[in-house]
Amino acid sequence: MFECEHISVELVGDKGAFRAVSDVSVCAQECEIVDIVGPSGAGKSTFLHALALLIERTSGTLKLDDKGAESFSPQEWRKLVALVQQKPVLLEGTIEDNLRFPWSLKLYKNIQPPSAAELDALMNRAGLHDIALTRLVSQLSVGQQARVAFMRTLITHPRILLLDEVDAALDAQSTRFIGELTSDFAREGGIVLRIRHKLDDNRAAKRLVFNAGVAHLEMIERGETRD
Amino acid sequence: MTSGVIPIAPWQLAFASVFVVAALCIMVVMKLGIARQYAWAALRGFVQVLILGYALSWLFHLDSGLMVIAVLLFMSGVASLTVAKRVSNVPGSIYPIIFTVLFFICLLITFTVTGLIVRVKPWYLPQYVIPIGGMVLGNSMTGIAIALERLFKDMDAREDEMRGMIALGATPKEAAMPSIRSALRAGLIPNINTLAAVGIVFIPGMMSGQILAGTAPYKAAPYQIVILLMVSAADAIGSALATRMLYRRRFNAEGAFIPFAPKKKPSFREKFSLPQKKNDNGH
Repeated sequence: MFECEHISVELVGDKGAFRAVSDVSVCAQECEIVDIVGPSGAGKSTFLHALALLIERTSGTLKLDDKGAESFSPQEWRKLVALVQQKPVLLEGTIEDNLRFPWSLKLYKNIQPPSAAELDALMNRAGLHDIALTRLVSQLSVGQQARVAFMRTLITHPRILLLDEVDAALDAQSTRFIGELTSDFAREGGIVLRIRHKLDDNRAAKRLVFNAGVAHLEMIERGETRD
Repeated sequence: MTSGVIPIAPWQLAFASVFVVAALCIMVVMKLGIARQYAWAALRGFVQVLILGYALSWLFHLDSGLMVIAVLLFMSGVASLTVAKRVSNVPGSIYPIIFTVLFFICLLITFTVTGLIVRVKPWYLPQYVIPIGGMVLGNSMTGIAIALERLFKDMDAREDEMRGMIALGATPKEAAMPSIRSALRAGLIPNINTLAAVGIVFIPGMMSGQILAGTAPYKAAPYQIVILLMVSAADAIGSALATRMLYRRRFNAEGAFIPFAPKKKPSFREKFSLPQKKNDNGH
């Protein structure tokens, strides 16, 4: 279970300090997808970054299976609670270089790297079966790059995926594959919190509605859609 | 050094002011708008070097190790101020760290040269320690300033990439390492260029000075080689230490990158688009 309680974030803007996120709480169970919606500038992205410890929170507690974020190193926490950025940021090199990048970090020193078969299977699931792992990422389309960035996080086996509008600027095909990978991740026991502007795909169980830094939680009825 | 210098009398020195007048004429005729600053800078340079001459004569006469160390401390202090002023996009004061690094490098490299290579006696012989210390400081100062400027600029340019790496579990050091490398390269390349061009494109300052003072050029050459190599080491060690000690400033306690938009008043030199001070360290 993933619990975020009373999360507040203060940022400094042109006109001084302001509360970008104010006392937001949400709790998600295994296999659950939580959609985060609301107008631009409402604090959604700041909230997700705070959950991944990428922005300092002013107050609030984060817990994974009743263990507070403080009991992990920030790096361990980010491996478990993994954020995928809106703009895919890939490193120079091939698809395989990127997928294996986490294993160049100290954190993964004692973690078995993925096998070739595992990488192939993932490429298939992402709809990239006709592209070689040796292809340079600079030669991929934006949608394909986004899928590689998404896979690079999936392959590290996080417990929680935080998706910062990963499909905002993507073609229909890439959006579909990322949607399916996300559902699979949740079905296999993962927890997903994702920011969405597009139409709901009816996979989420809850919706966290942001407005000017504050948020309230709505349950989603089966069959209901919303834009 | 042997005696061989033809002294310059005060009236001869006054005559040198025709150079200032020549430069001033160009600035006024071409309406460059920097004549006043130039006149002020020339006057400052004139007075500073004159004072330096007397101060060093006094220091040499004093023959005190403690005073030599005190002078090196003072020089490190001024050099650190210059670096701290130039590097803007980092939160908090970097002065104490730069000062520590510069003073450490100054002691390490200077006394390695004077103690192990030249073997001066006594160990603090100011004729050697002060000019060599000055060259070490001048070069490390420039190297460190270039490296730090590049470090923080590069980290800002790589903000998204670094955030992506950190989100995957990278430590601040792992995320910053490409920028640290790029910064060290930028700090060291001027040095490599100098080493490659020296002796063909220009006669380095220290060798020129020794030749003017009457030393045979072939005797002056080994000194110059020692100085050039010493300066490159000082530059490398100084930049490496400074970047390693300061990159963490742009990360918070949880290892997340902190974007930083400095709101700083432009300095006098930036305001009037004057060139950055050249280091006159004699190589």
